[in-house]
Amino acid sequence: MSSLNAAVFTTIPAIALIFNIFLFSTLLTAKKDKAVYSFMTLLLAFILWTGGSLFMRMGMRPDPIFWWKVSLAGLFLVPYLLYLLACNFSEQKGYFLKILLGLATGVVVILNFFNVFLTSPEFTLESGHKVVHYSATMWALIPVVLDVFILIMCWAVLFRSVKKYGVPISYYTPLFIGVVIMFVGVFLDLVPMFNSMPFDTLGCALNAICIYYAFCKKRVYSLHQITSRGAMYVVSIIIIGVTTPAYVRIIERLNLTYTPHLVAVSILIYAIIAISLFILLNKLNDGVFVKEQNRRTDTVKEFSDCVNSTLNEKDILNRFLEICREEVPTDHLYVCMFNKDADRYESLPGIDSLEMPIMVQRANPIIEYLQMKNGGIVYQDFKRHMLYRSMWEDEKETLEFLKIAYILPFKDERNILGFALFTNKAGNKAFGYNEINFLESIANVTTIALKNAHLYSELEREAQLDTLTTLYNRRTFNRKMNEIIEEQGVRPVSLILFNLDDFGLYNELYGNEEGDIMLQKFAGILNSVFGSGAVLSRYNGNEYMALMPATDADTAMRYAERVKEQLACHIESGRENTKKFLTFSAAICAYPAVASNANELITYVNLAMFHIKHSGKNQIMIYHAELQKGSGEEDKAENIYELTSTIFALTAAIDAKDHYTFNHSRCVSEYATQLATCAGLPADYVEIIRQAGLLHDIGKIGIPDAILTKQGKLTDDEFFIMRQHVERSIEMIRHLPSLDYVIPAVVGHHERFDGSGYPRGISGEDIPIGARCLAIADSFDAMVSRRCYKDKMPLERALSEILGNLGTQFDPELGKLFVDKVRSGEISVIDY
Amino acid sequence: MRFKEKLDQYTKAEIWEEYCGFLDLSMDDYMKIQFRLLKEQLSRFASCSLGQHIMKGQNPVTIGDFLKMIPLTTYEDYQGFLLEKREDTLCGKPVAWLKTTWESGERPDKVAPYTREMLDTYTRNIQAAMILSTSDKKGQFKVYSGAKVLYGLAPMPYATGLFPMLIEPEINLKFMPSVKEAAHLSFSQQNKEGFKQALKSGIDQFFGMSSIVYRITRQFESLMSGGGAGMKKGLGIRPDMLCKIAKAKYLSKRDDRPIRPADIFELDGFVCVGTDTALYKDELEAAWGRRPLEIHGGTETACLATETWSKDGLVFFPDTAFYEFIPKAEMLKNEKDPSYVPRTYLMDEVSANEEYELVVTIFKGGAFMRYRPGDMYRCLRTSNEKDGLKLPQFEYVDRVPSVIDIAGFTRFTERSINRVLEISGLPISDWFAVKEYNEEKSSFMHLYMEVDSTSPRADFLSAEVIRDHMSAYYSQYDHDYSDLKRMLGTDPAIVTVIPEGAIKRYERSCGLEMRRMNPSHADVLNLLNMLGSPFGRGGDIIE
Repeated sequence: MSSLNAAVFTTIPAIALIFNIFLFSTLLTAKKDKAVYSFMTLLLAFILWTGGSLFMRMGMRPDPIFWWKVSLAGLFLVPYLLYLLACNFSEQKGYFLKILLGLATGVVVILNFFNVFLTSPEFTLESGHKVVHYSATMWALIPVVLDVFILIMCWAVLFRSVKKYGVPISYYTPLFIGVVIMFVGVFLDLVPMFNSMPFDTLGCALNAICIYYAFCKKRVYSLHQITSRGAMYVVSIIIIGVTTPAYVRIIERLNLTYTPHLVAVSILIYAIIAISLFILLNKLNDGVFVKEQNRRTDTVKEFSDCVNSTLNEKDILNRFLEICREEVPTDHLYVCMFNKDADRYESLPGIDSLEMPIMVQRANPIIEYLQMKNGGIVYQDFKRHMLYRSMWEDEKETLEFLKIAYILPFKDERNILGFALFTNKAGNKAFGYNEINFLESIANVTTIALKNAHLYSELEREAQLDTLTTLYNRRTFNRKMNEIIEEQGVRPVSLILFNLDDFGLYNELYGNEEGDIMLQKFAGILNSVFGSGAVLSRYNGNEYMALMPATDADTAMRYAERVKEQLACHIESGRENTKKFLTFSAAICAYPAVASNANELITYVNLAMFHIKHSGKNQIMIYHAELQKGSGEEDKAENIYELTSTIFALTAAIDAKDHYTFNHSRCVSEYATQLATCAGLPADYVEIIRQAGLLHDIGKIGIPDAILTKQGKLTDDEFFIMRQHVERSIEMIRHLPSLDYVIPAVVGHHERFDGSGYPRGISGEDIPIGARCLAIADSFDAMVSRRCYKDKMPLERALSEILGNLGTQFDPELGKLFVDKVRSGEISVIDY
Repeated sequence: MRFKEKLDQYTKAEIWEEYCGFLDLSMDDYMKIQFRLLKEQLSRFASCSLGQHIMKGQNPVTIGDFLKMIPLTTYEDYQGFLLEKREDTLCGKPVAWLKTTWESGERPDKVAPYTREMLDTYTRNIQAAMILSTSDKKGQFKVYSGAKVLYGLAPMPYATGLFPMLIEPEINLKFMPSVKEAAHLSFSQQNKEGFKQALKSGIDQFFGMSSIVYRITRQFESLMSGGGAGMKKGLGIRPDMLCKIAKAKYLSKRDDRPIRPADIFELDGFVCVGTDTALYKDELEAAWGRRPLEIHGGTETACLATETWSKDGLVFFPDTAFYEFIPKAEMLKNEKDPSYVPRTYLMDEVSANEEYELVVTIFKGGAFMRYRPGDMYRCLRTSNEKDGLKLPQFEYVDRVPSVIDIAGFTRFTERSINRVLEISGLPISDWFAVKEYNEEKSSFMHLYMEVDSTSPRADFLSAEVIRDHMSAYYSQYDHDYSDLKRMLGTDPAIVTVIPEGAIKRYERSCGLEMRRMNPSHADVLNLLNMLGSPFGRGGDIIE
């Protein structure tokens, strides 16, 4: 029996019903899994229970008895659905029990509609209150026993989950509390003392809240995440749908009392109420649930517009810090960005108020962890990860000292551009789901902006640098030089011009690729010697500049000498002996002692360099005024004269040492000149080949007589020494002014067309054409002349030898041409 | 966050990942941790006097340099710094000093410093061992606050004594006896008291030195009946324990067998420490109904390795020390010729079924670099498909042959035996010693001795007399020896007298020098065969 207090007994079930409907509709938009589905089913049972109770009390159609049965059906379903929820929430199986209990509950629900457990209720009026009378049959024990059993099973499922699978009990606490509240409600409803309130439906609503909280705690979803305008439509429709029959009943009563035309007015009023309800619900949704979310979305958008309008990294990060401090206030917030040069992440100066900068090595395991994870990381979680075990103590101490709680990376795929370090929030509160979402959105926007800023600064940087050496290019260097000279005022500034000697020859000997490597290495040497003490530039081809602020010429000279030492060290450690000849010349001039401006500095170092190049190269010279006097144009004819006399002087030196070599050189020169002429080479080149022929064995001056004139076969060691005459030739020629152009021909005359020759082992047309001519001439003369250890070879056999080695030892075209020309008599054999 | 709080807040999978996640590491990731922590230790070591002394001014940067430049070390290399506890010379501030005997008292006790970080690692690793001991399957375990723990571990300052001290602040376990109580008890009293409390209220976990656990197991029934008057009357015993005891007595009577611990206790976890654990494991499993989990380490090295849930092979913790392994052949070569530098292999270079001597460099400010603790391990496998392990698993073999370790308590060396012989004045002309096991699987040292026939006392010296002399002098010389004798109730050494000159004769016959400590089994058999007695038992005199 239950006394009915109309106001309370209608209001509380109505509130409970609306609440359950609301929760149910919000779940419609949530991401669903088994647990969410079972919660939704449970909410449906709650809706039946509370809805049935409400409609029964309101005397809704078809009749209160029907709604009473609906309410009881909901009530009978609750234990079983709670069991399903417990199984799914704790991720446990148990199909047999689920089916068995489901069938039993189904039977109970069906029998309930036939008044098997409770007699049909009777409604009477007692002291102005409507009272419902019903009584239990002996069969009522069946659903009671069944429900008790099901609830024990529920408890067993959760207990097993805690004990066996180690799920923290705190996971289930809200579930336990909810169920307890619900049953206390049901129990109180049965006690006459408390039956002035519908505790059962109240308990049901509170239970729904507890379950909802348990889901939120498990982070299945957040309340903000699931509410939507669509859900509000559903709620409005359901509420209106549910209340319309009640309203119609009221209108029907009014019709009896008042005039029928009021029906139209009442329908209008109801429509206004319905619309107001929808607006109210939307306001509630926007104000309570979505407002904060919308505000943050607007903030992210505003932030995105702001940071994407700048390409300055510092501005972007300042704005990032600002927004983070506003939205997620923490005790401190630091930002570290990757420093490519130092290969580590460094806190930005001027942004963080830190006494000591934070430095995080790229190899720090936390970077790998950030790469692994999507989004930010909670430091406590990282501490529990295996990667934390390889952290160094000082790395741990830094983060502990700063009290870092959360780390938010600026991550471009797997590349971490930088990260923000958040310390604890006030009161050591954990970072919430929405805060983390917000921060991750902000970080994504920041990453894109930073990436753009980096790309821009990279392009800007590239435009200032020489691509090969990454030193400043000429344009940037000139600008910087002017700035520095202006800055320095009367303080000294020294300029050093480095020029790699015979670099064209180096390129020709070793190829442009090797030449580029050497240019990079030289830039590396300059960097290591000058460090940040000079502005360095690859000024032009093989020329470098070093501008040293606050440095006089003598100090600059010492630096240039250190560069020389470093280069010598580098060359010595090189594997190929032939690299030994790489040297440089350096010209120095100081401002304001000698030059009065940047232009003069450059003019004077060029002048000094010109002087060095004409006085033997491989020198370091400080510019002085005397140099201007001897800087006139040299007379070309004099040069040639000087050249010829030099060549004769050298060949005379060979003659004095070994008369045979002298004659051999003359003949080789003659044969090669004729071959080159027949091959149609330009006259200038023919002249070079002639001179190269005369000088090709000049290195034999350094070979001991015993080897040079040995009559028998040379031993391996002797042959090794003999082979060195090529390098010796180069060493001698390169120190002769203006004769270095013959070197490619000289150095290559022992190369073979198939690449098996020496000293470089180059092949085919990589061998300079002069060298290919000399190779044929050299071998031909060696064969047709008499040596101390052999007689002359018959001419035809010598020519056959050449023909037989075309493509392997000799250039096939030049070789054939030579043989043809000898046979035709155009090239005559010299006898000596 | 305390271990207990983690157990409350995190799921089992999360707890497992944190503590036992190292078992899922790939070999590369394992080595990455090793190399990174070694790099840290090298930089710390290079900046302290001890480090400069050991590294001899070298500053290795790469692993190749490290192996090439730093010599292998023994305790002698550290004694000048450590024995005086010169903290200013170390690379980390010690918060604890542990000790152990050094060559059976021949030298002062060895001490080893522990930094805060080392203790943190030690704590986490023994928590991992605790989890694994309760586990039969990957990811499943049963550790909870309030569990009752019986422990039979040597007290502080021995390394095992750290266990309850480090665990107690982390999780509320009921130690038997409590740590506070144990501080006032001798080791033997501690064991008795622990057992008494266990009988009264039951136990969930048992941590013990294998020799002690084995002894408790063998003497279980007598220990039960010797539990005091209260025990006999059932005073203070929980009703469920009374029921279990009664049931155990009934079953014992019915089946005519002694009461087994498994009849009374239902262990969740069972951990054994000590040199002979492998020998006892099967029997302990049969008696306690749970296979013990073996862990290994030492005073200088802390807890180095643990078995997994399958209790079949040790895995070394990646963050305690940098591990190198000397193959047995290399070790023997080095033993013969100390100037020979044996080659070491890293964890990713070991081969299955090979026996190795362990070399460790302790991480996190530890004092030992390329240190040889004197332990031999056999690599069982380089990966374990069944358990999904990609790391090598080992079994502890024994101490290096030059050391005879008895029950993990005391160690005999050639030097210590010679010293005892010297102070005892026994006229022994030659001897050799072998580690053997009796029928009860207890280890003992078997001394084969030649009496100097020129001594006037030669005729009176029987094996028993010599053993009694040795025992008496050893007890004075090495306090661990007397403790061990008391605890195990037997003499850890027995003596067999062999004819004078037998050892030399044998050496001449095979043209080799026989090791005095733990000569090979073949050498011992051949020598005894030569003497006409294939088995020399303690107390015999072989004519």
